[in-house]
Amino acid sequence: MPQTHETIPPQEPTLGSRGPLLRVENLTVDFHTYAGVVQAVRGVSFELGYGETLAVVGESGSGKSVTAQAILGLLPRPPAQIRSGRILFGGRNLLELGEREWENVRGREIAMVFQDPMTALNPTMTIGRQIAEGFQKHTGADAREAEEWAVELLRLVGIPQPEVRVRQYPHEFSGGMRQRVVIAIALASRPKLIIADEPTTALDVTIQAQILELLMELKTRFGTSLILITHDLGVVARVADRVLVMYAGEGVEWGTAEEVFAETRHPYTWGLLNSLPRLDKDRREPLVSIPGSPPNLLKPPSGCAFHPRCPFAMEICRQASPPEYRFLPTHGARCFLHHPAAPRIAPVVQGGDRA
Amino acid sequence: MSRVLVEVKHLSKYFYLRRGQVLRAVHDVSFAIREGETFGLVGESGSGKSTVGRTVLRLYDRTAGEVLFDGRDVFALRGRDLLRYRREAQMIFQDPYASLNPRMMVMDIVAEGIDIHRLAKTPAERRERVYSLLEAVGLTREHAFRFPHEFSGGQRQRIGIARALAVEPRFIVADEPISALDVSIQAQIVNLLYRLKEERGLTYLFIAHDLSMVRYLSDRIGVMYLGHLVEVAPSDELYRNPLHPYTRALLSAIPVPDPRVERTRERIVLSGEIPSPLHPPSGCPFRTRCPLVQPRCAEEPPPLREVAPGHFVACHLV
Repeated sequence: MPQTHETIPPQEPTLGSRGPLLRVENLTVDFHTYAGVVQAVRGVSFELGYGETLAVVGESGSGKSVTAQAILGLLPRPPAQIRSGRILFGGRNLLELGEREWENVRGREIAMVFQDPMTALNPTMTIGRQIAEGFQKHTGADAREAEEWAVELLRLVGIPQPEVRVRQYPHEFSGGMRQRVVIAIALASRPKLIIADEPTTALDVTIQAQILELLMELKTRFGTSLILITHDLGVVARVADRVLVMYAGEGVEWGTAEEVFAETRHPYTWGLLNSLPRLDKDRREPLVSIPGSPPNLLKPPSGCAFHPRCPFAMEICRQASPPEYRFLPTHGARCFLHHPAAPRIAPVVQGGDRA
Repeated sequence: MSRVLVEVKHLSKYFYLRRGQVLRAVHDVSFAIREGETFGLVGESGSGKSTVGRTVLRLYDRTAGEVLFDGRDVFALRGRDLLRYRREAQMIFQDPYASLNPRMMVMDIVAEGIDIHRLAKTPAERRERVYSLLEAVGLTREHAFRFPHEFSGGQRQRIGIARALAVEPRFIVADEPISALDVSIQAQIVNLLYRLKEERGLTYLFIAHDLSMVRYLSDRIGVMYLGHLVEVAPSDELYRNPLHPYTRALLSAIPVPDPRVERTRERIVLSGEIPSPLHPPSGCPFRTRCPLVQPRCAEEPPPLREVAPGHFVACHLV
């Protein structure tokens, strides 16, 4: 890589006086498999402020879920191997924690909302017990206090008759209600950070709208920061303060939601936005799809990983990995088109003004 | 205007479960699809949209009602006529991982229908047909000698499309053909389906929960809720002027990929969830979640009636 994190100038103070809650620096994760080494995450860096929502966008295999699992210390090692990088959470490097110390972070300070509420819950435990389990362990509360808190949390996540529901089992809940329970479990220890991995993908669109509203409301109420992992750019536009677009294990563009959608700078982000039909526009235009398919990370392409699918690829893109180019303190992309010597290309997409 | 190819009349499909329970998956649904037209059917899980598609293809028997193909009752077909319907009406499945036999080579997967319907006279002709089908869906002839596990999701969906096209169908039911695919691949498949329809004069029943993709491909759209068809309109009309309260909520629930639009947009967030089709509410199926509900909605089910040319809606309040 021509430019590592050390050469990047320090962040401008855009995150408020307290600095970032989470800072991921040059995270690199490999998986050792029978077929070879899968380079799942290849040098990702980003940060997240207190109370902020960061959306990590990418397709399957982009490394977004592996990044989340690394932040939660959930990667099975082996086969996973964290080759390099730091994950600074409130100043501590999480990658240096022992398993004991992890138990005080995982679930307590950083909690997870999983994609599939059907499999995230234990079918043999009442949901009250599942909510209370971590809370009791982390606070030493007794069973009665814990159940009262479980009832209160169920009320907060919008489950009717929480006193009754707290004693019921997961199979007695619908998909949307189960996802509310999963959110209640995540909130139980009042974590500073919640990572939600595709929290609405398994849900119908009217239920998805309910769950997104709920997440936003609770985030404000509890002052929690949120990392939302998703492939749905509509969801991103609705809830995100900041966006990180991932492709083939790398962060290719990042910025505030407005910057990434309206001042798009990376051809992959252009491609994603162009391949979506827009409901709020009247005319039907041909969809511009991204040709080809995402690369095999056993053998990532040389140079820029997107070059085999990029309509603007130049010779340099095949040879060298593009460095970071910054357009604003918060907005950057890894693409040689922004090199001063590169030809000027009119953006193919202008965010909101796309006809 | 072209003539009607598929006509669904008062179609109902109930599943009879244990202990005398009846699951009313589809109830009194009527619509017609003209030759060369794409009719989109949208709805959430449990709305009955896939059951409609499967019943139209006679993968399920009906409980009541009729499906006419080219004017003939599909459920009355026997022998050679039924075989011919099986060739003329094809399906593209949702899950490209489950719908291809992992033990068969792509050549044999695509040629299975060619063999059954004896569409190739010689082995060489069979092979040439498969090659040209693979090329038509954006694959290459070398792919014919590989197995499904060697392909990505998008490529598998192309194989499924080639298989459907192999028997020269006139009508294709595509049941959520893109929802298992990545965003950048979805657009490829939608563009492919559109091109094939134009080239071959196909008629589609396109079933999906993603309203933005449905609008892109469809000429007219039907919205289903709890087994009922609640609104039917030309696609642009449906998006410009949705009349049923459920359609309005559904459209407003879809996030637009533009933060500036999203932040100012008014939204109808429905409370509650879709009721169980085992115990549907009396009267209007949507009344338990409808923001505009009136006492009469519980008493009588609203009929689907034409409120503007080509625009049908089933609601007492419209």
